[in-house]
Amino acid sequence: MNAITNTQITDIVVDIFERTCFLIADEIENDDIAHFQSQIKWSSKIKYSGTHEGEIFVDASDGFLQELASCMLGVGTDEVDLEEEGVQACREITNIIAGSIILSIGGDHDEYKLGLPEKGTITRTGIGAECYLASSCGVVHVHWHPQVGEIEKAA
Amino acid sequence: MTCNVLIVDDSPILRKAITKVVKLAGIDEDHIHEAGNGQEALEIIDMVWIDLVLLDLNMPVMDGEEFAKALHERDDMDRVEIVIVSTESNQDRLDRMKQYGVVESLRKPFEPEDLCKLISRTLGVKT
Repeated sequence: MNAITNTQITDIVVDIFERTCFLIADEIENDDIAHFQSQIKWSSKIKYSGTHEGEIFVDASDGFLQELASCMLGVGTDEVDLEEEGVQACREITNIIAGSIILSIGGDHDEYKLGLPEKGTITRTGIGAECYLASSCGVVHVHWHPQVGEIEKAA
Repeated sequence: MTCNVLIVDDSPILRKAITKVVKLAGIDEDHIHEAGNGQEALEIIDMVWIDLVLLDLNMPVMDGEEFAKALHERDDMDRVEIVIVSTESNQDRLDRMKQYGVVESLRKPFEPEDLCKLISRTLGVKT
């Protein structure tokens, strides 16, 4: 298994937002992370298994999910139903990010199996790699956690 | 274009996004069908002739590989073109699925333009 750094996960996630729905997001400076953390209200996670196992989390603010869903659907942010389309967008982007992360850690011949996206938990231990990004409307946090057991103990 | 396209993906928001791209490829909305898993897709295929299936793999109830296998085992269904649109990156699995009629695959994330071109190319070859 190849480990992933914070820089690599940032590059993966920025590329996915741009390619999937032309959403531009920039990395948040370390000093500003605490300020943005308080805006995060939503979390989605997906488990992977195979040669190794782990989880990928995507946490987001209201504004980010509204922008993400509006970009995916090609509608205005005021037309997005946050509880329905925002949550769907969060889960789908978690799925896409997880697919790219397991490709990075295993290559295209490792037999990894992705689970289905589900509701996540925002509080967790800090092992693995993560990135905080801000778009014009909100903030998103992506966290690769390489060991499932640690998360369940922490929850 | 009067071909029928079936989008099979458990994410409602992605089905909506893909529907937009399919329309850009020249398919009328009346000819675009949606299913949330393989089982629903088979039920639609029982009722409507489908020319192209855009298939996710990782789905509840019946996943994409099970669907493609079940479709391949039906009489006269080898004329249905299947394109995988999924996060799947395992080349061995993708190669394995060619025996079930999979003609191409597009890994998520994809640019809408890439999917549009792929649809036109696949249906162009068919017609």
